[in-house]
Amino acid sequence: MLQGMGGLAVNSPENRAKVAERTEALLARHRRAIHVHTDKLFIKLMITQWVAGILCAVFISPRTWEGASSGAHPHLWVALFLGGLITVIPVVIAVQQPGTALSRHSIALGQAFTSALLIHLSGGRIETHFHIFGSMAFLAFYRDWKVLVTASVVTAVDHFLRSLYWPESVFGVLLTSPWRWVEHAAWLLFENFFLVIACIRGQEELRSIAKHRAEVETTADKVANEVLLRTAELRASNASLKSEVEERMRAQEERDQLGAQLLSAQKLEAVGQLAAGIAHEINTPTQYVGDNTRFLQEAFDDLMPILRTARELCARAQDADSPCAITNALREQLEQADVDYLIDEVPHAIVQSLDGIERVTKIVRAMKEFSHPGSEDAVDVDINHALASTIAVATNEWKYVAEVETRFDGALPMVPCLPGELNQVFLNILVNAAHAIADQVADSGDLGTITVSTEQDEEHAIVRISDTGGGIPEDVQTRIFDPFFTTKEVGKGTGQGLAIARAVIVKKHGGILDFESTPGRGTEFRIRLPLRRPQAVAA
Amino acid sequence: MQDWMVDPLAEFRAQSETEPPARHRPQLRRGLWAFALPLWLVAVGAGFFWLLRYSNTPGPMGPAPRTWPAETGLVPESDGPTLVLCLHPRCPCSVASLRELQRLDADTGGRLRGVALLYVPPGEDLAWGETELMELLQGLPGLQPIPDPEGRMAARFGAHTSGAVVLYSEEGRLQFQGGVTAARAHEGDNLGRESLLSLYGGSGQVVAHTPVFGCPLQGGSCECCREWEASP
Repeated sequence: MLQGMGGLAVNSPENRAKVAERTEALLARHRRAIHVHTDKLFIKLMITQWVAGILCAVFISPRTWEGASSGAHPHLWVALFLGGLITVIPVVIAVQQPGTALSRHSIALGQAFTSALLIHLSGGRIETHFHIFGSMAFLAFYRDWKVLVTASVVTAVDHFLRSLYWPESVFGVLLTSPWRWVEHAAWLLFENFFLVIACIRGQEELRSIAKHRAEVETTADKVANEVLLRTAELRASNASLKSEVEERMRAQEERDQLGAQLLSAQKLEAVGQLAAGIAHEINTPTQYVGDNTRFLQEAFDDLMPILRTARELCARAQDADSPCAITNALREQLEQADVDYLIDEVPHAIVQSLDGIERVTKIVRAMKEFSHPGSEDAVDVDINHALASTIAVATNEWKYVAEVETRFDGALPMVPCLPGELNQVFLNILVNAAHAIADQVADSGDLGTITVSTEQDEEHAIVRISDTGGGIPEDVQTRIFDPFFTTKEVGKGTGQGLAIARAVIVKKHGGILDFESTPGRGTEFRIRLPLRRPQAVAA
Repeated sequence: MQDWMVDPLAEFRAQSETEPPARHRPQLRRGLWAFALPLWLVAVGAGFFWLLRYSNTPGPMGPAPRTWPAETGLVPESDGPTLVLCLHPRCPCSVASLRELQRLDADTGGRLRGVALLYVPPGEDLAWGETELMELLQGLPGLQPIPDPEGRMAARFGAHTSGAVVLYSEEGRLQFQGGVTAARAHEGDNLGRESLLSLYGGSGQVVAHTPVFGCPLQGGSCECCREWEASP
């Protein structure tokens, strides 16, 4: 798997050199650990041997006698001092310089001397020679065949010298072949043959383990470096992504602000577009209210002499003066004032003026309601009333091309919504309907029909605004809610109306805005507003 | 590596680095051991030399009477050689001598007859010598234990060292005088046992005088021993 990792060529010359160097370092460390560990074992063993020798001397031959007097047996001193001399020096070296060649070779010497002493004190008992073989096996723990050589040489020399001068102390027999030491040395060589092989194989295993570990470490180093590199790249990438996300969030905030500004601008645009019609709507009644008022002023001017004459007539009638002349004058004045006409027209002018005032009031109220300032919080709104206001405000948009029929559900409850933005939606759809009908009827003088109705189901208030215009072509039906999409001529629409309408209904009210259109027959928009306050509205 | 970087193999590296670094040997200490080690070898060699010398240094032995010393009051065997064993009951070195005699007794078919003179200090009796040695002595039923106050009787046989053996023939002639171990406390083949075995076997080709390894019986010097040992 590691071989297959990209960029981790562990077989490169550089890596091989690194592995070889690390292998040697690990091998040296492992060897040292083994040497130190074996040193510790021998420290315990040699001290144990020494103590055991002293105990044997104490129990077997504690005292020597000379007649009735006695003293410590020389064997006790041998155990104590010669045994101590053999033991202490290697132990001190092993403690002070553990793991060194000096340490293990001095231990090998000490162990060989211990065997020699044991064999001597046992009178050359052949069983005690097993101490040599045991010591050799134990020394093989070092996995250093040179240590075996040291101990073997000492043992062989000891056997050789003893065989020359005192064979019984090593072979247990008084007379023996001068070459018997060679036989003992051969047995030692026989054992060492296997032990040396074991040592060499042990070293080979150590090297193999060290090499394997060096390879693992080298590969791990490369993996770690790769991981660190990738981590750094990821961190850089994360930083870049974070920056990009922050940039996008800022852009989104700007878009939201622009959207809000656009909504406000759209409202202003609508108000601007409606301003001329509303001005016309207000101007017409204002004009005839003014005419009527001037008429009433003139009529009153005409009636003033009549009234004064009539007053004088009443005064003279009390003085019984010539009433005929006054009567004649009154008659003339009545004729001049065309009182009959005034009697017919003044009440009419008054009614007409009041009607005009009423219309102006209605328009102004509708305008006020339509221009309800935007609110962050939903309020309960009478949808029917809101629709009536919007229809009134937009009168000038539709009245020359269509008739508006309203079929409001009187039982429709108050609906929680944002009135300013909802009125904007109604107006957009209503104006679109008027425009659609205008395109359809053109200059034929025919009037289309805009039907505005309300109803409710269990969870929604439903507003339907349908027109008898030309409908929406099928190829653009999927795009009409897209921002900046419009089929109107340049300057007549921004392409934002339906996009904003959908955003207002869906996002801000949790409602549904859809439509059904049949080309050539008209379009019906359906607005479903939740009767209960949804989360989006509350927010 | 940057500070903020996390090393995912830190644990692995730490494991590798936890092994103790190789200890540096000071040159002075190495030189000291280079000097001390040969001294040690010499000292050990000297120790072994001393041990060998001690093991091979025999105890004093004086000349035994050529004929049975009747003044001892002891009666020699009438139907075979009489063996006189002189022992210090508390001498650990004499264990080897007793075991060699047991082997000899076995080799001769239980023909060892005689006395075992057991050293007893002044004012003490045989109970003083109730030791492991006495248990071994029971393995030699042909030897009669006889207390030997201050080793005086042993001295009459020229024996001044524990483990000394003197053999007289049926006719009362001295046949052998010496020890039955090759060295101090060393069991095994030795000239003394071989000589005795030959004598019990009827052979005349024997070494009549072997060294004795054991504790001195009487204490003090033995001028006559030195003179006798120095004689050819």
